[in-house]
This record gives sequence, C-alpha cells and structure tokens, in this order.
Amino acid sequence: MPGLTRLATATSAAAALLGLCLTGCGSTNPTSGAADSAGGTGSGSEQPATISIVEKDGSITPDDGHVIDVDKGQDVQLVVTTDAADEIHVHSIPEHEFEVEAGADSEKLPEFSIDTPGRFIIESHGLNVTLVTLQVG
Amino acid sequence: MSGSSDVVLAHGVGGVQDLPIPAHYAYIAAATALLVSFGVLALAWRTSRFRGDASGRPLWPWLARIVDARITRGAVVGLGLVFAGWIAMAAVFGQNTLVNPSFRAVYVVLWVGLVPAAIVLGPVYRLCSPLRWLHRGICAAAGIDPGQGIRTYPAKLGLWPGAFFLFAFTWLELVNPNVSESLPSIRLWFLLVGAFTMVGATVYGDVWFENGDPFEVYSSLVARLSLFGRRTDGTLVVRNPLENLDGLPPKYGLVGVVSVLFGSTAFDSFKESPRWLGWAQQYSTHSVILNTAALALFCLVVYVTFTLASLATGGLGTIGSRGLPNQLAHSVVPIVVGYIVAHYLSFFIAEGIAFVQEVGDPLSRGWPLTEWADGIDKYTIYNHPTAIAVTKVVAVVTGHVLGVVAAHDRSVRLLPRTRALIGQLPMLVLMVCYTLLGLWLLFSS
Repeated sequence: MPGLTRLATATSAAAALLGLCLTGCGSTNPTSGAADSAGGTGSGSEQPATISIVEKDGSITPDDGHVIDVDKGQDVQLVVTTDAADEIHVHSIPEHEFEVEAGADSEKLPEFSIDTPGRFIIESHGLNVTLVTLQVG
Repeated sequence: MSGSSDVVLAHGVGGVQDLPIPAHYAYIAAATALLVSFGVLALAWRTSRFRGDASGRPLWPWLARIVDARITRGAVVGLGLVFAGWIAMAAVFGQNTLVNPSFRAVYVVLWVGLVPAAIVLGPVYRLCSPLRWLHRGICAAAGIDPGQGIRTYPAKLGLWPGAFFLFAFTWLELVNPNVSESLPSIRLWFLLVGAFTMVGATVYGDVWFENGDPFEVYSSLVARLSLFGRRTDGTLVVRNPLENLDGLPPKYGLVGVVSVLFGSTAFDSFKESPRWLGWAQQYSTHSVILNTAALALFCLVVYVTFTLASLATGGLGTIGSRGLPNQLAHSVVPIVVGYIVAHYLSFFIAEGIAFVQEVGDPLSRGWPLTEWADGIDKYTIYNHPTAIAVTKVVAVVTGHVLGVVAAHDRSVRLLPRTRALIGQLPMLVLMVCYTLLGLWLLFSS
C-alpha cells in the first residue's frame, strides 16, 4: 500500500512541522514570557493586584467569574467589605482560605501569589458564588 | 493531601484549568486543518483503498501466541477484576472524602484512561469488564449459554442503549450538583446502570454488553484507532489505524454515541468558560436544569448537523440515504478523540498522579501501599503551558486530518463516481466547523 504509507508519512511530517512551527513561535509569545520571570526574583517590583469584594444583603460583587490576568509570582490582595461573616476561597495551588467577619470595611486580606500557570477561581464559600477567575501566566 | 472538603471540581475531580491556547496557535491550526481538508479532497485517491477488518499484517507468530496465551489473558483479566474489586471496596466501605480513590478511579482512570488504554492495547475493557464476568459466572452456575437471552437483540436498537448510558455518565460527571465529595451519587449511578446492564444481558444475552455497556461501547469505539486489531477470523494484525477504523461496523445508533461523546466534551469546555459561568450563576437555583439542557443541546446539535451533512452527500446507490449517517459516523471518531486528548491531557496527568497517591489507602486508615508516590508533585505538568498548548493543537489537527481521510475513503466507496467529490463537500465543511469549534473552545473559553 504505497499510497497509505505516503499518506502516513505526509501526515506525520505535517504534524511534526506544525509542532515545530508552534514551538518556534512559542519563544516570542507572551506565554513563555512569564516563564522568564520564573527564575528571577522580580515579583517584589510589581504592584500587587487588588481585587475589591463587596458583600451586602446576601449578594456579592463581583459575581460574574470574569478573568483577571496576573503574572506568575505577582502578589494578589483581596479587599473585602461585608455585612456578613464569610469565607473566601482561592482555589490555587496551594489553596488559600480567608475568613472575614461581619462588618469588615475595606479589610485588606493577607497577600498571596501563585507560581503555577493556569486558571484558578476565587469563590465566596458562604454564598457559593464564583467571584472572579485568576489567570496566571 | 489534606482532605479539603469543598474544592471546586472540574469534570468530577481536579481544580486547575489550563490556560487558553495562544491565539496564533489556534490560527495556525485552523489554517492547517482547512488546507489539509481541501488538499485531501483535491489530491487523494479516487477509489476506496481501506479494507477494514481484512487489512493488516499478521503479528509475529511468537508475539501473537504470547498475547493470546491463556495465562496472559488470565493475568490481564485478574488484574482488571482485582482493581475493580479494590475500588468497589473503597466506594462501599471508604469514607466520603475527596481522597477516597473511587472518585478518581471513575472520573480519571476509567473515563479518561480508557482512551489511551484502548488506543495502545485495543478493546481491553471488553476483556476485563466486571459485569461481563459476573454474567458469565451466573450463566456457568445456571448451566446457560451466556450468548443466549430470552429474546433476540433488535438490530434497530443498535448502540442506542450505549449512547443513552454514556449520556447518563456525562450527566453524572458534568451536571450532577453533588459531584464533589458525593460518594452516594457515584454508588447510586453504578448500582442503577449495573443493574440495568445485568437485566439487559439476561433478556438479550451477552450481546447487550457490546451495545449497552457505556464503557465497553466507548472503549471498543476508540480501540478502532489502535495499531493493533483482529481480522474476522481472529488473527491478530498490525494495521494502519485508518483501516482499523474502516472496519467499525456501521450499527444503528453509532451517530448517537459519537454525538454524545463529542457534544459532552465540548460542553465541558464551554461550561468552564467564565462567560457561561457568570451567566449561569445568575440562575443558580435552576443550575441543574440549565446545565442538563445545555448538555443535551450540545449533543443534539452534533447529532442533527452530522445527520444533515451525511444526507446532503446525496449518495444513494446500494445503501439508501437513511443508512448514510451511520456509514460515515466512523470518520468523526478521530476528531472526537483528538479533542478529548486536548481537553483532558493535563487533567489526566495531574489527577492520575493524585490517584496513585491515594489508591493505596482506600479506607482512609493510613495504609502505606502507595506512600512512595507522595513525594511526586501532581501539578508539575501545569508548569509547561507551551508543551500543553502544542500537544493540544497537534492532537486536534491530527484528529481532523484522520477524520477527513476516513470520510473521503468511505465517500468514494459509497457515492456514485460522478458525485464522489462534490458529495463530500457538506461533510468536509461540517468537519472543518467541528474542528474550528474545538479550537475556539480551547482558545477562548
């Protein structure tokens, strides 16, 4: 079956070429830009990403799970105003869980940073609502 | 391994999502898919070449003897049954925490691991299926032939029971609101489906398993992309996966099975997207209804578009147009598998490691059987986003190319010569759409 063999060769060549092309392009694209900072200790020089969370009468903002881009190793700080006690969970690696008490007014929670590329959601445990999605990398 | 009680679970288990693939990856992949598609149409052979089950080169006799030896098969079956029993023990007697290995056994090892197992080894699920062995045991004890049922299996029912239970599984995985840490829902699902399967096997004989056991249906379907296969006389052969695929019997319901697999995986990607999440959250009291409807809609859209595109080929000739969708459905299998690889790749590696770490302690009693794996960082794979993205794109494009070639060969066989090329167009366009949709989900969700 020379036709099939040729087809198989062509297919694998195409696949290899595609892979090569992608990895080649990869060196100039922003995804691997993040990898550069991995070795460095530059995280301190960046501003922390601040995310405000307001909880009132059983509803919370933000509540649309929208994507927030943060750099690898960049500090993230949640600022919470709430009229009810709640737990805020960051489903990153490792996980972060913060307890806030009723009456907190622009309370700054401890900063954290994420070193693993990926998407991680921040959730109000009390209301079972996804607030935002952190995109790291 | 802290048993954190409320980790949000994507597809059953696991909390991390991949980054979207970079935009230019998606563009390059889409362009490649388009080029190859029309290249195949323009340049490929004009008379069918694939010979299905008749194809392949016999495996070396010594290797075939080893593979078919009673002891080899006995060992594989024994391993499979011990594994199933071990997991059943965890599911029945283990604690309802996330580290109970039955969650990952079901959502990672069984559901995702079945795909690489079938590609490498062929239809192994069929060989090890615990329910098949239970049925065989009961029949042996009662002195009945396992192939013998009360009624003959209706050919028109075909793979529809399999499609239905596959849908039921994807519902358990993707919609069931209690999916995290809900051992009871897994127990109930397997109890119900297991009972139904045994009833089916009693009524129709063991032919039920190949049509109605969702995991066997899935495994046997994917096994058609393996390098290994058997001729109808049982000879073990090495063959071109495209010829292997060509031998897939075009049973009734095949389009249904393929639609459920593709639709549900696409829905899983879509469901993770922040856009859907934010929107669905506003109606969170109805989230089960909403997600069930969306899951069903995804599967239905694949079913309807595929059926229409098949009918639009207009080829009648010997088989009549009603048989066409199932005659062409095999060609979607590589597209589905390519997309499944892209969708589950990092998840399978990370959660597979987690499974190994927890499987040694099924009852949460501190058994040290797999303690050696505790030091492995299950998330290592996520530190290689470029490698993940490249593999995803290559998998999707490879699946697409194989699908287009499979459809082409089948079309030139079935369609009248004068319409063989033009008749393929609707199907080709649909395949391009499927692949672009897959890429779009990987890129923008």
